[in-house]
Amino acid sequence: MSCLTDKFDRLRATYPPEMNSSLVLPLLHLMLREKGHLTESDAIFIADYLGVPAMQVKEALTWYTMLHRKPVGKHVIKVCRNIACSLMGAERIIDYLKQKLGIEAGETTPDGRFTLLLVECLASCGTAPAMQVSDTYHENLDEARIDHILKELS
Amino acid sequence: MTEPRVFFNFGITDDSHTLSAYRGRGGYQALEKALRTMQPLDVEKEVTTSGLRGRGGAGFPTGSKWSFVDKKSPVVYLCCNADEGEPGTFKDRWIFEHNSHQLVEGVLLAAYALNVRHAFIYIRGEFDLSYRRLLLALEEAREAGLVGERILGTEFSCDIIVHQGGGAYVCGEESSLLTSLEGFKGYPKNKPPFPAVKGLYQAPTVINNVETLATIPWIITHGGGAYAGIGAQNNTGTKLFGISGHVNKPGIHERPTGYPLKKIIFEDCGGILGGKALKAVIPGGSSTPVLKGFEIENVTLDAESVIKAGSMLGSGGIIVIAEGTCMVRLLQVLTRFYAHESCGQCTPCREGTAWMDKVIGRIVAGQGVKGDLERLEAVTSGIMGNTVCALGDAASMPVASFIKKFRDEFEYYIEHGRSMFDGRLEI
Amino acid sequence: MVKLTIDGKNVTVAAGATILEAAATVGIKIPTLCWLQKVSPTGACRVCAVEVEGVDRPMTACNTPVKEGINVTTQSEKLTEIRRKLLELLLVNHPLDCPVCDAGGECDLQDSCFGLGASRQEYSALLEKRPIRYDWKLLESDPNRCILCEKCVKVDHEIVGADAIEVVNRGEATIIDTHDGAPLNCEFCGNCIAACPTGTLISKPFKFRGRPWTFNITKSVCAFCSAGCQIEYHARDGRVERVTSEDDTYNSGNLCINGRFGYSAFNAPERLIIPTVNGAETDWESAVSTAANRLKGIVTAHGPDAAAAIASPRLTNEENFLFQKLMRVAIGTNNIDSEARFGYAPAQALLAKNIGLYGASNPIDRIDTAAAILVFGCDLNAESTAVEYRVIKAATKNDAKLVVANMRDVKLTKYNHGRLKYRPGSEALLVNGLIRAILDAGVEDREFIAKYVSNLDALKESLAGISLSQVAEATGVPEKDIIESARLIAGKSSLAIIFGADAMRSTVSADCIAALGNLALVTGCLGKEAGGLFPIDEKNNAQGMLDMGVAPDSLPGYHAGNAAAVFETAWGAKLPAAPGKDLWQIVEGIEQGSIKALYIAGSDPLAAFPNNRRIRKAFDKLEFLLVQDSFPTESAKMANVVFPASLAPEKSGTFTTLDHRVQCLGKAVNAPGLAREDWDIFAELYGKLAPASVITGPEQILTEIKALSNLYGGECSVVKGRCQGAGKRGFALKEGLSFVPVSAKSADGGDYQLLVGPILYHNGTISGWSANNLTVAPEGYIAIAADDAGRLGIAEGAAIRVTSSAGSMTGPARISKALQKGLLFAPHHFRGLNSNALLEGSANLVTVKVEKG
Repeated sequence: MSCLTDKFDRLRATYPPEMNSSLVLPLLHLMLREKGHLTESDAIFIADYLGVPAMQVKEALTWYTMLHRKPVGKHVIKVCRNIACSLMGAERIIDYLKQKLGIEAGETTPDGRFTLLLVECLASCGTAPAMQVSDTYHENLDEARIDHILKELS
Repeated sequence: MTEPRVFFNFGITDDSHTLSAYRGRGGYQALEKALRTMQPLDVEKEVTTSGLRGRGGAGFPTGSKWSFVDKKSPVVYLCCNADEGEPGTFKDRWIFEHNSHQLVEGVLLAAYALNVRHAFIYIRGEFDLSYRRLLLALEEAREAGLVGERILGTEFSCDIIVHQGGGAYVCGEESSLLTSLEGFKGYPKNKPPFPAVKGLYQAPTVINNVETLATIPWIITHGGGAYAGIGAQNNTGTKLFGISGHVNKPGIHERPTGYPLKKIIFEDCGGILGGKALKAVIPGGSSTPVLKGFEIENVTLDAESVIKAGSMLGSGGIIVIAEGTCMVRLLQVLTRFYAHESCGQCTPCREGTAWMDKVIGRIVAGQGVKGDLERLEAVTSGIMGNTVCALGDAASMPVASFIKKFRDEFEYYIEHGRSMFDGRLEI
Repeated sequence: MVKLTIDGKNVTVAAGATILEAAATVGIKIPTLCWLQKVSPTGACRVCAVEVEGVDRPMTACNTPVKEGINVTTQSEKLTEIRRKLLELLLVNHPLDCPVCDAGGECDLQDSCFGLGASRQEYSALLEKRPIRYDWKLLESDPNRCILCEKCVKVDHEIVGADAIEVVNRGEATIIDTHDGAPLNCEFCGNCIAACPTGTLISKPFKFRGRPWTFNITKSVCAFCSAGCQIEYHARDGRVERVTSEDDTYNSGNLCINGRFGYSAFNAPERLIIPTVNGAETDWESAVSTAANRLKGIVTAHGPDAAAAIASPRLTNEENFLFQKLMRVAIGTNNIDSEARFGYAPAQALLAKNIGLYGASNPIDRIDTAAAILVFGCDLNAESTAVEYRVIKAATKNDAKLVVANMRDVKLTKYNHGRLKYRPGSEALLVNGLIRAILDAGVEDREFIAKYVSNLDALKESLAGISLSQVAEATGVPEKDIIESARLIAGKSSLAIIFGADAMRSTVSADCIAALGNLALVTGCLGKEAGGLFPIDEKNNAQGMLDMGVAPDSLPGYHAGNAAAVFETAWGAKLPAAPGKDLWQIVEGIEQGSIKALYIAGSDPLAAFPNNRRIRKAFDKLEFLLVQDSFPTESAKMANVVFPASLAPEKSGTFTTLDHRVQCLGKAVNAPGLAREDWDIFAELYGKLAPASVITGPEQILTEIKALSNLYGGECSVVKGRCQGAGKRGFALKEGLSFVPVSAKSADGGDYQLLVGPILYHNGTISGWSANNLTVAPEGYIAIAADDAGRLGIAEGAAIRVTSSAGSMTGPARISKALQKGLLFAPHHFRGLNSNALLEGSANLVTVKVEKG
């Protein structure tokens, strides 16, 4: 964990010292990037590092939807299902992805490469339908574009 | 175009987002002007004079918000609300991706006016390019002595910290944003006390939207009076409108307030997809009450006009719905969203949003029963006004307005167990 | 002050008060569900909605502060409608399984719905059934019944500090659960059960035992630790079925695992219910006659000092008083002592001599408001959880600065501002280092010292030989930490110094206690409204027992020999002239053959006392061993005569807390079988030994205590239905005190030292008979530092053998991050492990050898 605490220290230095508690979410994000998903012991590790109550970090971990608490695939596909994307065919896109990956939403492909998640508005309403693969936005989706994106990832 | 532009005043190229490009079009001159020639109070006065109203959705006068803060307090915080999450809204992303420096300059001007040493930009955790562009801008600004200690060699110092959200719509609500920024799950707080009195870590805090802050440099450069001369009388200036849904050319448009809604849909956005008739418009983000097509006839894009029509200008996210769309299933998209985003703290919202979604879900599944619409209306009235924060209201307004405006569609669905429009959302 | 109007009534309250609090001052009750006075407001249920004139939204009274001139309405049609709708929303997800719900009859949701006429599940659709947590120990959680008021989580977090349960997930998926659904791992205090307004969190051992209104409820006082929490016994058919505590009690309704769940010891099948003579069951007449005859015979043959007695901090004041009177008058010897000899009694004697202090200097609720707190050599979590709750409250809600001095990391270290992790045996030196640092920094309480203490220069002089670097070297605490901690505790408006077993039973205990006395004077922590000096004992009536003269050298009320005349007149008998023997002298006397008869009541020296292999050998030499107890203890197994005795819920009388509060026990049930109250047994034996005496009961004895002790007095006063029994003279600060000379001594152990002490889940050895406590902590273990375990190749759970000069034990290893290198810890509650056997004397620390078991 020592390389992790080095990263923690660097992040901590960017916040005013009296705002120690504010680092909970940034550190959870950092740890998530390192580990893929987070468990109670990760939360306690952060709580101990910051000197804040464990409950605060544990509750935050279960509350924010971006923080995965179960293992996810190498590529996490997050498809928007909100209003603008729905009006532009999100359901079609989601069905296509499910069929193409052979999994339901919330599942990970058996080879551990893809996790398919449905998310709420990604602020891509003007370029709907949209999805995110890991961090990257993909917009104005149609079946052909999805084929292309998935192929690029292979 | 002869109208003044606060945002759309340059051509987008590969490096138009950089510091040198921004400087090339006059960037950071407002900051120079303020730091060298104006007192903090002068900056606040210009903003007050400009008549600028918050662009996040509530439309509270910005100068007034600033005036509540005790600037003599040992610590004052400024938080830029960049948790853009209201469905239908994507304007802040445009600012981040194309002109982060304009926001940075706005933040610095606000910080100068409010005696802020540490300003925060609470940005949606999902944002990718926006986040990277903002970090790049800050790095450039820091290197150029525009952020940090003794900015431009003056006594004014201000650090800007970018804080990523964790995926929670409610964190766009200001008290929730503060709780989240303090390192907790983002439960909203009871008000009073208001953030201007006791906000982040109990210190006086101002929370302004991205677009609001990014407007400040223009106001300082051209003067509050000039800004007040643009657009509608009680809702001045230009605004970014994001048009999405069933239009031919969706996207962001900067228009003066008071601009006709119909014009933006039918001229600027090329009209309805496939030449269909306009069925409905949600004018200010998904929380605002839906308007039927004919109701927008004389509506202009300013707070008063939209309110008169029975809705709200909100965040300027205009969602266009073509004839043939199933409003019942569309409402389900929204109830599912609000139930998912309810923070879980207070009873009316937690239980109410979930039950609205369940009842709508039952109707969509063809198992609606007589009385479901009355039941939904009763739930909305039980939620409205009784929750800790505005999410409860935001969740109730679409339900109440969809049922009110399209009652026949709902009744048909319940009676026949199927949609009047084959459940179509996509046209 | 702020003036406002509520329902037309004018109200004036302090600024910052909530509308709810303001309304309460004029007797207006606003309905609430999620509000709980002792924790921070949640504002989640919205049931307390009120209207404020000029504000369009209803405001929640529980967390909206008052404002000058506002006009509040708490009852209106609109509000009733809002509240009813809220309850209906709560009910939509509520299973309405009231007939099989344990909370039926004491459910706030039920009461509120009834009160507001909410009786429909209006929005009824499919209920999503959530799994019930049957896999937790002692508690069960049915999230389907939960209304998410968060009271349990707040009690867990803010009062107990366990952080075991939390608000998990978001929106409608929100539930109260452990993280990742792990089995509950907490302090098992059950305070969350008490806070739960519905039947979500319930007590497993109480489940289906009966409807709440079918029990007889008796107000009483907890018989485990020395904080004296006020409780209610719920009994039916001669059994205590649960223990609760109301929020308006001295302890604010907060209990620990022993208080709430330890009652199962009372119902243990092992209880002694019939007297025995030489192992054979018999009747009382024969048992008492046998005992009396054997005692008389020995006294006649060898003189009264051939008899001795060991009393118990578990006995009431009246029983202890009668026991020592029996020994002094009916037998004629001063040979009576108790386990307090290991630490509490000598510490008390020292502080009495130096400062005039017997026990705590202030009531324990003054810890809540202290500006600074030093917890020295005390694992409050185990020694007195009730006091720990107060420290947590002070440190988290009242901004007290907390310094924790302990050789181990304890629960309180997560709240500390200053931390002194010292080497075992360096306690006295560390305190002197603190004093030195305080004087160096000039933050001593000069005003206090000038008024009350005469010899500051002498103290400075005797400290001159102790440098902070030397202290740092010997204690292992960095010099800067000592200086920082000194600054944290000194120069404050008030300071609470709390010390426990590691100080009183230290290998340098006398020096340590003397130094703590000096520290109290230097910081001026005595005689103030807040703070004070607080010695902690693990057992409930240690203080009362000493007050009653259970010691070879002191009569009731700490009267020494020259006050004997008063007692002789009152008792119509000569008091024994020969000085009595203390506990270790009694053991020696038995070994040497001068003591031939021993009477033990409420104690088990063979399991609960240190160096008990030596004691066992000594007992072999006794001509007559009389044991009076409730359980078949190791000592009872060796006894010639056994008297079955009752436990706290089965008796009347009083207990005295460490801070001098005298509280009456409420008799909730009768003792099982033929078991009798201890006073009653003493009285009968007394009658056989000295036929003229007539003892009618605890009230008569208490009258005598008041008349003779010069310590207890006044009439019985009843507060909130709880009887105080007597008042007790507390500590009075006197001028002319002196600092005592300083010792730089520091004991050095070998490579490994074993600390023996209590853990949270048990109290003394009684809880070892409690099925509830044993569910959570069934057996002993030996904790070892990770480094040491690694070096010795000992894995978690593997057998480990620890040996001292006094004995050895083998138990499962528990690898601990709380221990410093070279330090081991073993709990002393478990008869099987018998860690006490390794201790060589009164000290709770011993040098040991460690190997794989």
